[in-house]
Amino acid sequence: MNDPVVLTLLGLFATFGLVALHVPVGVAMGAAGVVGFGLLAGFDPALAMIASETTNNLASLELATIPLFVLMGSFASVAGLPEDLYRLAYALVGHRRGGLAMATVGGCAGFGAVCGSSVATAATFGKASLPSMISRGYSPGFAAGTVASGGTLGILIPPSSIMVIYAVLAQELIITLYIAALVPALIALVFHLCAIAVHTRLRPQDAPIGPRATAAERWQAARMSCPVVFLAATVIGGMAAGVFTATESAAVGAVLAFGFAVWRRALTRKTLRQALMGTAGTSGMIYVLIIGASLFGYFAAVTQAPQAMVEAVQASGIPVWAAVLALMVMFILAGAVFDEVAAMVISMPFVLPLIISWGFDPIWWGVINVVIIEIGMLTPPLGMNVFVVKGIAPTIPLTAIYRGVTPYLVSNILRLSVLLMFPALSLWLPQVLKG
Amino acid sequence: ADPVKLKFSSFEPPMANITANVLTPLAKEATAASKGSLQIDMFAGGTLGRNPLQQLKLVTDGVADVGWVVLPYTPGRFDDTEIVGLPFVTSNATEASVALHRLYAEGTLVGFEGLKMLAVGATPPVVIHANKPVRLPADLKGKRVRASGDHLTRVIEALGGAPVQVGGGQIAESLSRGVVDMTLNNWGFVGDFKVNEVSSQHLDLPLGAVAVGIVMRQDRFDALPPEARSALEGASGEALARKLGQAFDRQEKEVRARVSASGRNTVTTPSEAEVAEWRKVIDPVNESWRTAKPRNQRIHAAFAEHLKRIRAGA
Amino acid sequence: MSDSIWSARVERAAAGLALAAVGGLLLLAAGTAVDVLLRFVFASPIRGFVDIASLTGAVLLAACFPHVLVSRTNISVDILGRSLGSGFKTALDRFAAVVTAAFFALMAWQYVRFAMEMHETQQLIPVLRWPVWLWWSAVALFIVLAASGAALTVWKRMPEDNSNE
Ligand code: NA
Ligand code: NA
Repeated sequence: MNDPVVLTLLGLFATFGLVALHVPVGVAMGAAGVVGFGLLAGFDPALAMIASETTNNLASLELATIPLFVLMGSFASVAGLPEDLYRLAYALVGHRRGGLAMATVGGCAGFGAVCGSSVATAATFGKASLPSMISRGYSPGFAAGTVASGGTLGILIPPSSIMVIYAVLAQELIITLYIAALVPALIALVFHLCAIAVHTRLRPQDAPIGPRATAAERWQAARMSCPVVFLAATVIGGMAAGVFTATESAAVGAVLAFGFAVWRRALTRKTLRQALMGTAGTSGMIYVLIIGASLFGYFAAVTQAPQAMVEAVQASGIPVWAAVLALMVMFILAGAVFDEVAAMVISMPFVLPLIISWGFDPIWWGVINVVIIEIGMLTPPLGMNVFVVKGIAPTIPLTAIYRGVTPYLVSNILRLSVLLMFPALSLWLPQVLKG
Repeated sequence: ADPVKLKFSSFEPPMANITANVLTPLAKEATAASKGSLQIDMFAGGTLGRNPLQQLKLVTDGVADVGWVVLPYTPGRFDDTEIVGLPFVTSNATEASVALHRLYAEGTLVGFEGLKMLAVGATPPVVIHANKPVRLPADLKGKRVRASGDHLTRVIEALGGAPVQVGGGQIAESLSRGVVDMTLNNWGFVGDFKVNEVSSQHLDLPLGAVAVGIVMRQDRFDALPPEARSALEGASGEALARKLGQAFDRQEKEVRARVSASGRNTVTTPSEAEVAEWRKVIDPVNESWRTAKPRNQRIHAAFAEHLKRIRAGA
Repeated sequence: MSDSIWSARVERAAAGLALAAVGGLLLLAAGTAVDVLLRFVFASPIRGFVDIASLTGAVLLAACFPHVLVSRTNISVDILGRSLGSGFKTALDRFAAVVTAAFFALMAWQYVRFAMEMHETQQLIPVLRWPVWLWWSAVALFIVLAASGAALTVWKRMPEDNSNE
């Protein structure tokens, strides 16, 4: 062990220490990074780096997709697009056993195509579908668990703010990651539906069957869903067809969603203010996190500790599968007590070089990371999405929600294993589209 | 005494042409010649700062001690070096680099105050890459053209094209998806960023180079021990500029040959009559650069003089 | 108490600034949509729009920082405080506020220097050749405001912690 490695470890400890003492994660990483870099390379450059890194991130067009997609998602909610999706999904499968839960998951998936956040998706469907599930006699825990888990589809289905963060820090193209996530997203939807089918067969009392929608109701629901389909098709289709870049698609999507909100007369002073303020808060805190992460990343790079770690791991002769498994366990444990995105960002300078040294594709690892984050958002004690649903439905006990989430957790872990074992599921589509 | 450690930043990956063939050898050579007074460590792949636009700032801030910089990425500061960006002026990177370095060494160029340039140089000229054949200026009319640099932007506008701004890493993608219809890059860039895999028609028309440099802070250089300074002096200067140009040209030739040989790509060299058509539109744009400032006239004349001598073998 | 009226005012001002900034972001998005349309349909994008958009975006995002810091909408983990009781929690929150304010004060200081450097070296926006220091001075101003706001939260008692995704 040489000094830089020790210094890096101290830097990591300092970061975790500051985080434990309530310091915001971005600030903790930034402070540890600046001090560490200063000790190695001098404090003048370390201080100057604060401004230049902040500049890079603030002026980055890639990162600018985050606030724009948040805006799009907010205006889409204001315009009532989630309710349309839910109604459509309900009209199609509501009469089956677990149909309302399936409709919720389907609605979440559809909304995920216009919203980049898992929390926002869960919050939106907590309002759009939770009351109707409970009024139809669903067990509150199962209903809430469905919303919490369905919400995580928001970060797996493009657009996704977490994929943007990963792509920017790993220096990969956002669009490649988006395309890579499409097949895994489809798999996620199927696994969710299977989890519902299995669970409702085992515990039919959790999900009573509802009435079948009439043809007229179905037609009406389909017609009402046109705007959301149009929005998703424009944003993703336009990007895939080359009409615009990822950043431009986010801008166009935000403007279109705003247009729908105006057109449906849903935009009041109050809803406009809420949408804008929500965007300001979310984007601001994501930028603080990323600025801190880049400062810490430079510190880690200048110590050359990541390379030392790669060499050490390779020299140790640990089989790759065991090392990947150990990484998974580490991430899931970290996600239990830590903010999952922060965990990904802090570990990135060390984990990514390892992944690349094993010959894995960083794009595949990006998809895996998102799925791990999905799982982390549902695991106790700190399951962000569970907290969000609890916030919307305070009368449902937390333990009941965690119980309701369990079938989805099992299916998520199965899904993660499938994606780990078959990287082609993530890498095939980007390969094909590249020609 | 312990050697003075210098951090050398490159935004390119370690195996990229210039980093592998010029910068890393420079670091090794200067370190070896310094009699133990100097140790230059490479930080390639942007580990000290991945934004190509910020490389000069890394050096002036002291985050890095030596930097590999693309000069037009600091708009407004090195306007004099735009001379290499004029279409049809230079035909390869070696002559352009040596000529530009001589202009720098004799103090003709402004903007370098406080900097110690180990070398100033230029890339090979950019040429046109598209998916439909491009032969004459009319083929640019109404087309979306990716290009960077002030002068090239004006050239494209004069040709009736629409200059579109796209970051370096996203060019191939923008071209393959049709966000842009064509892109102007040198062949080395085409190889590094796989532009040839998303384009099929290439017109070998030299539309201007991009000025680059290997930079230190003057005060940082002056503070080095004498052996370290002379080791650096010995490894840099015009000889380094020439190496830089030659490395560019080698890669240029290799990639052009590889792309020409490929069945899916057609590389066209314009005839003299065709070049004349292009010059009819572009020469006035070049002329407007020459007359924009009195000093541009002087720089243009001095650069042409150096090129003449270099082509004559001096 | 006058203390809490004061902090309520600061919070309102920071929120107002953030509101205006995100409104500006929406306008910028509209400009981008127009640029895309002009490029796609008429092959004539707005000259130099992308450079202006990226700089203006930076200013608008920096204008959200005061709100984020004043309202303490930040990604943080408060397990320790929750398990040790409210007295501890207050002390830890105060410590975190000090560190945050100090970090942003450093950033503000460096940004003022950065903006001055951009002014002195006369750096320009490519193509349009407008001076970039105008934009970075605005960013510097908002980060100074953010740092000042963060300093004020040190003395303020937080009711409940905000969470995030
Ligand atoms: Na999404
Ligand atoms: Na968790």
